[in-house]
Amino acid sequence: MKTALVWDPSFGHYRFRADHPFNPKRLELTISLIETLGLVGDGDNRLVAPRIATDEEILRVHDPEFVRAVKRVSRDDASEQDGCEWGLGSLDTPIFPGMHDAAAAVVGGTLKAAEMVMAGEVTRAFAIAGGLHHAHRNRAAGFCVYNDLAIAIDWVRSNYGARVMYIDYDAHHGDGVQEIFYDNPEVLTFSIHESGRYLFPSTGFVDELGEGDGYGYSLNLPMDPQTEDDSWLYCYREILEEAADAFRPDVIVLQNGCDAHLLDPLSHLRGSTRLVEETVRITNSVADKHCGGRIIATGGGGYAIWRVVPRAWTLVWAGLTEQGAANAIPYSWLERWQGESPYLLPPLLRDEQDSVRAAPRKRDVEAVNRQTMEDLRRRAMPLLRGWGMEF
Amino acid sequence: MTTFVSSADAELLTAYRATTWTIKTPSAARRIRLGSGALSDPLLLPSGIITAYNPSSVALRPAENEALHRRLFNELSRPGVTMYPTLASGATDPGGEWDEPGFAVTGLDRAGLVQVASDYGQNAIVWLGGSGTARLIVTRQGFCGRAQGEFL
Repeated sequence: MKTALVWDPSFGHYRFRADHPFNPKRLELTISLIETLGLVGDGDNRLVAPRIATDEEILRVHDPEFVRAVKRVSRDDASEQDGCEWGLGSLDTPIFPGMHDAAAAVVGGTLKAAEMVMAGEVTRAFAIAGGLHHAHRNRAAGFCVYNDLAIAIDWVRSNYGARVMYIDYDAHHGDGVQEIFYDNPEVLTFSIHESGRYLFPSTGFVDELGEGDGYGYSLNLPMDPQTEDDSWLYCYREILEEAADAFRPDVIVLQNGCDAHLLDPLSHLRGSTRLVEETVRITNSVADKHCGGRIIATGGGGYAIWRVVPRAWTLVWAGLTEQGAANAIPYSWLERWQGESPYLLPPLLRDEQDSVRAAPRKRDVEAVNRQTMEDLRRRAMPLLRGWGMEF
Repeated sequence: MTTFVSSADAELLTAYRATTWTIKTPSAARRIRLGSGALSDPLLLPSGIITAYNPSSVALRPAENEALHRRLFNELSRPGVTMYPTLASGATDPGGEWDEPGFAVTGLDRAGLVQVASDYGQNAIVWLGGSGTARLIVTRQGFCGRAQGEFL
């Protein structure tokens, strides 16, 4: 199987402020770990350079006024006030010089991944800088300026007519992608995340099922805070497999936010690296069954940049490429980065499963999650299977 | 021997000759027309351009065309085959400009692609051989008085 990892150091230009949690250093750390482990090279698993998305491509999803506003606030002399009505210049998404070009490069990376997968040049591609799922048609939000995922999905739809299953397991609801395809029955969005009762963006409940022709093609699985791997993975697998059997996608677009991890500072979940590794494995099997293996993967959230993100996304890449990654992190990598890291870097790629104490409310959390999953299944599956509302 | 060409086929041939095909590869967009210039992109040589739209030259509703396009994509999704999106466009239609999506296919031999196009009710495919010059190959037996698989 051929795969591509889309990366260029210029992705580092998508950076808000030195103290902002969305820190592109995590990309550099991840690529460095992937290379150190020998998981990418000149053979079937290649590093590929991105391209810059054109205005025309961005405008297929975003409003012209919004794109003009992004360009305005990209100037050196722009003020925070210039973009506030567009969600630009907020605490979450501050403006910075060169914002448009940096965001267009992120979009270009995801488009490149989509182009290679859909052409059949590779079966899976990982656009590691992508995954900006909170951007809306006319508003930036949650660290996201342009919605690279939606632009890539739209590109796939318009060029190949393929049915797209969008899967998002970031700790935060994939609200931007959902909104953009809310009335589209050819794009099924499925987001599993920490419940919007407790976390930004406060959406993603089971009753958000789509609208118009797209009613039934928007699936949300909000998990309780303190959710651990087993409960998360059980709910994910149950819904994903059933939904994919009903929808029969041609390609999967997978957002790999890794902020459901216990150490992530921006969520309240208790996942481990196993959550990421198993999620990719389950998704691979669904892609093999329905899509000839095709997956267009991106990064996403992930704010424990030293102790979690490099390991999690290395496991994503190893999983997508179906390479067995050694568990010991090479000393050379630890030695290279330990001096910069404010934390002691973990020596193993995978978390040791007995290293974390079970959550005090573990059984309650599992029960609530199961109930949520059954609620979603009851509401959504008849619609997806075309049975109508009566059952 | 004179080959009989019906007026309908002659009109279609004129339309083909007035068409520009844009091939979108991950690295560039290439534009070609029948017989003019030569494409030098090694990624695309040889390849054939095929569409599933409007079989038998009968205009279908957009949703029907999109469903056929998707079916063609899935049919051509085979190991070793690559498919780059194409857009055929022209201005010969009295109603104005038109465009029609398709795929530039590599990794499938000429006979195989002719057969697929025939299955989809198409008159012809555009073939980019080793020289890089775009030529039509008949896929509907008798189109412009030619046999299936013949260059036009």
